[in-house]
Amino acid sequence: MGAIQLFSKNVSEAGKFHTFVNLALFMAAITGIELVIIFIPFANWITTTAIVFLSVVKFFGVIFWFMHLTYDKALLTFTFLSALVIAAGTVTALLVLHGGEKTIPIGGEEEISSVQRIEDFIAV
Amino acid sequence: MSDSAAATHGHDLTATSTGIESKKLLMWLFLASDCMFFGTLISTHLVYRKMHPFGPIDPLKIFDIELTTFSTFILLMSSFLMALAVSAMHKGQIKSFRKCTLGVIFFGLIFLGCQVYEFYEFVMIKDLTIMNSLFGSTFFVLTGTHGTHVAIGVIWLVCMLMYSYTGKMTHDHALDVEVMGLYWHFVDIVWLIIFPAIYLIEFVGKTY
Repeated sequence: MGAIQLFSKNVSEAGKFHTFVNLALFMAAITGIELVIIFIPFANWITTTAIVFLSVVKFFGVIFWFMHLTYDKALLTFTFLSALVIAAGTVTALLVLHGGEKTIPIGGEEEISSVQRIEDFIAV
Repeated sequence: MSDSAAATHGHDLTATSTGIESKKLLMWLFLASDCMFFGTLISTHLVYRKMHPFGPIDPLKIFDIELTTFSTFILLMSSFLMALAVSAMHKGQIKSFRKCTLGVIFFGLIFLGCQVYEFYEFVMIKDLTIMNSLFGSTFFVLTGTHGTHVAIGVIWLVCMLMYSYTGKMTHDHALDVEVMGLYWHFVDIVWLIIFPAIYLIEFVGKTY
């Protein structure tokens, strides 16, 4: 029984090896595409969408195969994706909340150094 | 995890009520919290970038996109080697584990070297510091925090590699290697977000 388990384990790990190699090559290719795509004169929204999509593909490639989520219990996937949803929600909410023109501070078109801001605050 | 997958990993899963090893669950919870931490850092950078789009800082002149792409590639390959190291440990192949771990350390150091070079260039040549602009503040805090994570990962890898030479490391330590691997992969995926969100996005529509 032990020998059978060891055999199946080695076969499984050998299968993973090929998956890892293919995934690594795939992600290296995607990184190259990302670099090239920003130099191609597409509309900005197309380029941005493509970059975001390719990054998401790489992201999920790593967490599901390199990090073994696809081989592990669903609870781990749920745990991590919950945090990911909260993080993505935070990013989206902040970008939306601070996206309006009214949120730009007076003189916002000029780069204000953080040191200057602190000095102004202290002076007030 | 299915029964066959559980057998594959070769650990006693009856030890916990969740069926997941405590170390692994704890690491995933830590990574989940770290995910939210980096989420706030990235959003802080993006929000300030949006609020102050007309500052004296021109990211196109500052960022070296070829170098950053190279760093991304290096980190991806280190992640690949890390996956192989974990796989080797599950098979009980210590020598293979050592080779792969050494490769991960090597790639990790290359990444850190690229980041140190980038920071040096920004501060000393291109006059972008953590103090002289909001862009600099958020950029250095974000990438610096990530770099610190990478450095911690490299130290952890070196410790694990040295431990493997004591002769005490056996197949039973596969879980420890797997947990270390999870941390390293997480460092990689954070960079996979930082790279497009901070670097690539600056070049969209401005390179032609």
